[in-house]
Amino acid sequence: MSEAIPEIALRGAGKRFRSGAPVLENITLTIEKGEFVSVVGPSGCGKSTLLRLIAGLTPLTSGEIAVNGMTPVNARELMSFIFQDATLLPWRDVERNVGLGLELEWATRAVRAQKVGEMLALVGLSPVAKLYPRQLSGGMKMRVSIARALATRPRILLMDEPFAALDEMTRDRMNEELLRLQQEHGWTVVFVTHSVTEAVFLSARIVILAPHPGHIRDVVHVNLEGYRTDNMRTSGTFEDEVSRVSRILRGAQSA
Amino acid sequence: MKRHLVTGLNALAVFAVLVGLWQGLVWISGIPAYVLPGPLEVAKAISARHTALLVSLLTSTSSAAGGLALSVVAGVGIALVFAQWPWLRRMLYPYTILLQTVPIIAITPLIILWMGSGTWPVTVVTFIICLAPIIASTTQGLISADQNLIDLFLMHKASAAQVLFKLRLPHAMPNMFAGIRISAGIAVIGAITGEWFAGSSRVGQGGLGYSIMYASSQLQTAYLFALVIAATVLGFSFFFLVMLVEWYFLHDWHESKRAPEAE
Repeated sequence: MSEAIPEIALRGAGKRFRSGAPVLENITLTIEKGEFVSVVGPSGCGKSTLLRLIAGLTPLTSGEIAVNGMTPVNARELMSFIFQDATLLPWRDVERNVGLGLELEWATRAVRAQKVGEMLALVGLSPVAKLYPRQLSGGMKMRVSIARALATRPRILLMDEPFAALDEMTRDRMNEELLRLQQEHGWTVVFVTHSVTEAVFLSARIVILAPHPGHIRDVVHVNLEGYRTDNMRTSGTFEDEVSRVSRILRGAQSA
Repeated sequence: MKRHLVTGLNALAVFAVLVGLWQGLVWISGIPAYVLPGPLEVAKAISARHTALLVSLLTSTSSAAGGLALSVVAGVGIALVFAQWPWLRRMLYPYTILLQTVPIIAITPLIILWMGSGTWPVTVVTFIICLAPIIASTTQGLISADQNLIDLFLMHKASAAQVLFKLRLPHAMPNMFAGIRISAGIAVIGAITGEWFAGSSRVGQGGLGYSIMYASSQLQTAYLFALVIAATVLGFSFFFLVMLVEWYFLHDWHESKRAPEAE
């Protein structure tokens, strides 16, 4: 195994719409295996587009992107995408929603049942396995969405403002759970958010995008030692980090 | 439960009052029965000719059901093709609108000219008028699946067939049933229109459409009323049956089928 291949590498990546308007320009960024990177920036700066480029859901118009040395489309089985809304299939109960990815990848029924069981237990949804999405709260729906993304054993999670629609308490709890799972499993996470607090809490590095057209304004290392817990949110260092990142982000907005 | 019973009883009471008014009007005004038969006359006509009435009803039912079933199969099939190949949809969709706007009365004689009389041309006429609503509504549902869901499927390397049958088709079910409901209502009209021209050459063997034409030409107005009632009941039954099937498929998950008490 070559240590030299980064998990995700963008070199001068750019995207224009068919109309010619540039969305993202000259994005160069390397993300190592197991790293948790957040992307923040004002709306319209191409955060979601960046994620979709890494996922290979929209084609690049300049530069290149390699995921584990492969093109994004070829590397799809390493990745799972988690959307802002839970994007569950309303006609499937929780269990069959979680099993969707496995089903599409032709996993056998036995494998599916076992994995789905594991994932439901992991996100604490076993008791509601037979309920339909409309019977779930926003937080539960997002858990189903995460369980579905994890069921196919991805190495990379691409998350597009996954907790934006949740209330603050639920969001904080989901953040902690996500961080715990990520550290246990060593996933590489690219996390798009508009909340600086969330980005600081979760990530080792924060990529700050600026608009017109979207480009990297700054990459900030978060200086927080050790394991992140709920208590940490009220600590002075945490608040200092949040205001430091916020200042840089404000700069990006006014630019 | 009790509320349903009260609603039902109220409806029955309204019905009884209307029938009473109708009979009263006939008695007081002295309008001859061949112009306006009273409900008693109609009831007498039904009991006297119930066999012929039943045969007509069954003939029409089979043509209407056959035409509707064919249009569901063909309509959903065409919609699936339209969803899979947008260029085909752009090319052919205008013709499905044509299908809806062409006056059925005008093309029915042509169909009979080509197919002869009997129940088949009637089924074909029904099929033609039922087809457009099913294509239109099902296509609409198939092509309006959420882009994020499509992306999700693509992330799992879903094939085109998987996207179509595991995402687009279930997503389109509510639209599809809305189309089938519309078609179920007009299926009976289609069958009657067809039979008007092609039902049968022998008395008592034609469907409702043929019998309506015959009864009206013979001034058998009471029996004509009986036939109209039978046709209405048939149309309503079709509609109700589709509602039932729709409920069966959608009640687990679709918002439109959520019971208000469940809130």
